[in-house]
Amino acid sequence: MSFVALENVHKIYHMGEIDIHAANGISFQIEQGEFVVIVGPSGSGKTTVLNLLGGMDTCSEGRMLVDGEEISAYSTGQLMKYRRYDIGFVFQFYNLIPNLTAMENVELAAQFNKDAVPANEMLASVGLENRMDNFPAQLSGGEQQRVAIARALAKKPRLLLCDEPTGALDYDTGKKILKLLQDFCRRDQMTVILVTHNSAIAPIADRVIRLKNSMVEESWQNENPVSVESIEW
Amino acid sequence: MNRMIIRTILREIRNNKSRFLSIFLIVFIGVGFFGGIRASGPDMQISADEYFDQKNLMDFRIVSTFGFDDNDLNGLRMLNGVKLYPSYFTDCYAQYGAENVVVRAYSLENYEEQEMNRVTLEEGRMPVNPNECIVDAGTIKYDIPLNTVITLSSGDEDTDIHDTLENTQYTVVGKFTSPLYVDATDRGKTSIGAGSVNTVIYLPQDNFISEYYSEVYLRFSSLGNLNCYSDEYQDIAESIREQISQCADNREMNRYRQLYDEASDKIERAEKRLDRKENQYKKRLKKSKDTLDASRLEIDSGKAEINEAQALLDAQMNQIGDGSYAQDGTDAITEGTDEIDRLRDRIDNSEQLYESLGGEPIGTLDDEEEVDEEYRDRDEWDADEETPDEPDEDFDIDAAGDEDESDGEDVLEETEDGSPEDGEETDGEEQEYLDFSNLDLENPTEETLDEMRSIILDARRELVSMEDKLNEAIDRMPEMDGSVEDMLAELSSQQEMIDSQRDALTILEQEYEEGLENYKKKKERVEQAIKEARRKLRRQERKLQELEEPKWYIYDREDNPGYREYHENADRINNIGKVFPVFFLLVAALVCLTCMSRMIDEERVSIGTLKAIGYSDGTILARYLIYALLATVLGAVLGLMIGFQLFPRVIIYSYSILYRIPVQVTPFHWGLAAASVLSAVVCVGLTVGYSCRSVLRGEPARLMRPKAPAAGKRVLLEKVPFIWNHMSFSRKVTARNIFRYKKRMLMTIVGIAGCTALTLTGFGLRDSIRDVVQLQYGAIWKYDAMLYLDGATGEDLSSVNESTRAYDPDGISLNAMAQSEDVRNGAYELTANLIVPEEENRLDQFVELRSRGDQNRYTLLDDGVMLTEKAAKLLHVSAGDTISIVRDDIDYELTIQGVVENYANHYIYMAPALYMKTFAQVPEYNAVFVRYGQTMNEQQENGLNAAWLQEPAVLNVSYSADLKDKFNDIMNILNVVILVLIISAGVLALVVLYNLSVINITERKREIATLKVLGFKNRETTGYIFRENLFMALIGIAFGLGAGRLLTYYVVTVAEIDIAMFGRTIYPASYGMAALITFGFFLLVTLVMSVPLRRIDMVESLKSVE
Repeated sequence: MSFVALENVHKIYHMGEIDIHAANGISFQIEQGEFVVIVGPSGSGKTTVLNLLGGMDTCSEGRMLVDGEEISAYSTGQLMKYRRYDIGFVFQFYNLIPNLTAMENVELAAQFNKDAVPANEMLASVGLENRMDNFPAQLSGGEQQRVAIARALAKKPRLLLCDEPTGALDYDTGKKILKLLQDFCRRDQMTVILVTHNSAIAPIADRVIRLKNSMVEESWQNENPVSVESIEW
Repeated sequence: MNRMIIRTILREIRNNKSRFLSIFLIVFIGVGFFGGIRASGPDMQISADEYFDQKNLMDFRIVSTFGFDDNDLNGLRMLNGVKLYPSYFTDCYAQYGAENVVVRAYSLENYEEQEMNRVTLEEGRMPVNPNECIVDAGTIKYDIPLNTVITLSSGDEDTDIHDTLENTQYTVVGKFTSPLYVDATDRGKTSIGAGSVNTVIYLPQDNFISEYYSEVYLRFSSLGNLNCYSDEYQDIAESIREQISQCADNREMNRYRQLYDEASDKIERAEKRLDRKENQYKKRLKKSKDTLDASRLEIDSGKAEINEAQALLDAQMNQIGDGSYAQDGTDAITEGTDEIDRLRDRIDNSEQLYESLGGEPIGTLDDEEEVDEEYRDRDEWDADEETPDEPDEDFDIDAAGDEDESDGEDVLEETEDGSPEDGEETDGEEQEYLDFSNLDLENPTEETLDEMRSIILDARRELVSMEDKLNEAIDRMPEMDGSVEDMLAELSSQQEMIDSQRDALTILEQEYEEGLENYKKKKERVEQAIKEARRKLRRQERKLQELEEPKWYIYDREDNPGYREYHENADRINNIGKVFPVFFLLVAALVCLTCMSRMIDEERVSIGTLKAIGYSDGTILARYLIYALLATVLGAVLGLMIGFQLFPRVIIYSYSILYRIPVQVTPFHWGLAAASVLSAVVCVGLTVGYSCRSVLRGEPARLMRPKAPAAGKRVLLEKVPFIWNHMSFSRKVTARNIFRYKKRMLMTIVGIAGCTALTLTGFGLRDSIRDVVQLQYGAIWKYDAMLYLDGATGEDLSSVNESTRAYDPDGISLNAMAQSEDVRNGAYELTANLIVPEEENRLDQFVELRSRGDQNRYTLLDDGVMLTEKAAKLLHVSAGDTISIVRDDIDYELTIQGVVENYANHYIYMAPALYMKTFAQVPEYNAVFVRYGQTMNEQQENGLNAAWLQEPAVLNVSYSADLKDKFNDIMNILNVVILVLIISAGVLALVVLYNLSVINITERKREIATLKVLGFKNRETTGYIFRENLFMALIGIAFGLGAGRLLTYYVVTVAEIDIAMFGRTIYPASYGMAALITFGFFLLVTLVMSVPLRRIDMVESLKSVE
């Protein structure tokens, strides 16, 4: 059985009189430890899928299974716990708490898990051992994203979800972040799901899911994922 | 400005309803409160003015010591634009049931509606019969029930109520309130009883017996349209007072002259009449004296002649005896002839005398009748002369005209009761005198004359017979020789004749003696009576010299009980209105500032876009200005509309318990409204301008990028690792966040502090007033009842005390003198109650004399007085200074030994020795302090009350418990005010906190969503946000308690009325309550806001910024 499985998932937003189908019968499977890239143009439903997987939203129809648990049937309380212990999230705009230092931002998430990686170690592993006491505003975009990744990984989540993590970064920094994510995936057998509109990133993934019009257009397994250094956009 | 902008503004409002509502609400409350409280003071005055205008309240009241006659009224009519309303009043006692109260009775000239000072009928009906009256419904303390029959009696023993009033028994048929008496208890001062009027009644005017009006009310057209509490009114009233005072000087002098002239004229006339009478009496006396003298002479000469005749007769007898008879016979005839001649002469003389005495020539009875007639004429003449003394009537009238002013009263009363006596005495004397003159002059003389006449007639008859006999003797001369025997017989018959004549003379002499005796007696009496009459006249003259000029007392509205105090209270509300509302406005401005800067921050992208498209800064600014100003103006106008009604009405209503002003006028104050709206508009406008300034200065490109969230900063606390390292994350975040948004922190603290301060002020105010009750009636006044007596003697006092002891054997009592006095220190004046305990060392059992600060207890000494604290403050004196008690314009200086704690009224405590030394008189004990030996229930207290009121000397009894209840009533009013304060404070706190929370949440939506994504529980998320609010709330409460303390002191000082001192202590419970209530509001807001917080949609909030 797959680590993550979506079965005919629908998500309908009611905007006044109009119903918007953000997800229109999406199904796919992901195995544990895979580096998955979900690509698609704007409005194809990729962020919706990520939000549903991250327990930030509930689907209108269909089933979602993560590690054998049917999260689509979770109550809000269960979802909260799910987010708290099982999910790491990385955003395009980092969403760090501006009033906490890099270290504190990591600790903020790590405090939930007794087995969490110590914050300083975690930050060191993303290469920020010297910036631990800086506030987000004192860090560059790439550094902020590293903090965000450290925050997401410190509590040892079962699933790392990244929403356009390179979207706000320049080319080189973006590549470094991708490398970081790929390294964690490979090293810790971490399942990473990355959403992007940038098809150029797809070759580094173990599995690529292409969405279009809120449906899975195609999904394939990449037998030979390339290293981050080799891709260009 | 184009349609697009208007459309965006409208859409803006629709989309940002809560923000619009926030600004609207805070402006609504701020301006409403500001305008409402500010309008309350003026509205109080306008309402009172309107009430006074409706009731045609007088501008001036004049009372004269001699009353007012037509000339006085005509003099007053000369004043410009004046309307006069002359009337009557008298101060007297009213007895009903066991109660005996001091009333001022006014005349009710028109049963329907008076020309001035119209009363409002509250219950029952107006009088229709002369023996009906209406009583004061305004005073709480003396409530005479309907259908009670009251009996009026005069205030002192010297005057009779029947001289003033036709009827003395009246049935109460109605109750009224009068614009003259707006105070709930005070009814002014009087010269009778304990010095103050207890209640007021109106009697039908016909009951007043007086030729002169006792008072005149004046209204002036120049004052009619002015607000009576305005400076303008006061200025004009001052100048009118000058005019009245001139008129008064003039009339006082003229009236005095007129009275003086009339009286001195009468005295002069009386004097002349007296002189005339005296002369007449003297003349008459002289006449009777002359008559008496003349008759004396006659008697003497008659005696001499009789003796001579006797001697002659004896000689003849001897001649006959010794032989010389013949010769003797011839001689005897010669002698006889001479004798007869002499007798004739004497009779002639007697007749002349008799005639000169008023007798007609003797001969017929007609003469006698004529004499009688003459006597009758004299009686009539005397009756004509005897007319009653006229001046007395005048004095009578004058005295009746005067009731109020004690100065003139004595003189006049003396005059009044002196004069009729004079008249009576004079009458009696004249009659006596007349009697006397009749008796003295006429009757004895008549008798004498009668006697004399008969004697003269006898003598004449005798003369004729003597002549006959002599002729016989001459005829018989030849035969005489031979008839010696016959001659002898003849001689002896002559001898008999002489004897009888002598007897007659003796009777005459006796009667003369009686006459003389009577004359002397009567003369003495007449002289005595004249002397007495003269003495009386002199006394009248002296009194006339002592006659003082009539004095006019000019009173204005300020002298009406409660009128000035109400004004002062309105001023106090004005003072309060200067502090509180500004506070509200400040908070409102802060809220607006936050709202608008937040809005503009949020809108920076669209501002950038508009700028990029090519809109001018002005147009963009206008968009926000219009948005904000729309909310402001709407809020302000609505706030004013409600505020101008709500606050003044609540405050006027609350004051209506203390001041009977039934009219509520709460107009829309355009000036104030314009000022409020303008200040709000300017405030918000500046706020918007300030918020937009930085944004509008930015480049469109930069504006279109989202604003970086406020950077994190380290706080001071982090420098203390010991604390910082032990803090949880959330706490660290909280600590940092508090200082991250300084503006919001400031606002939260100010808002919360304001709420706490206002609430604490409310409670503090209540504590202060509760102190008055708790301390005054518990700690300071230890007595349970105070009895007021009238004209009590030592026996009365001991009788009262005995009956107290009989009822309550363990109770204690102390006699004292209680008297209302005017106290002065330089320009500072007030009225205080002078208490002189009979035994000063026992006073501490009834009244605690202690200083408030150090609770130091005092004992009364002989060299100084104790003055209560508020009085000392108002008089600007402290221990060791001197004050003076003013009696009849004489200052009696006293040294203040100590200033004692006291909350209600002003008191001076004085030892009896010092009283005697100061006033050179023994204190008249007219009050008894009573402290029960046991706790009394209502029934027992009623029994005691009945026992007391059976004592004739007891006027009335005041119970501490009653007074306490009354104060509690006033407290209840204040509870309303306090409630208003707390509600206003609460609403303010709610709006501020809600606003800030909304801003806090919207501003940090992303952060909160992130936390949620990280798996924060709802409780944790709420805690994350509200922990900082909690912290700020706590700081705000702490600040607020401090500020509230200061504010309470300020409010207590300005809100305090002159006759009371509010407590200065805020109880810990009040601090607790204020903090708790504020915290309650905070929790409420937290609870309310946790809902939207929970509902924050992670997906929506974390959406990448497009």
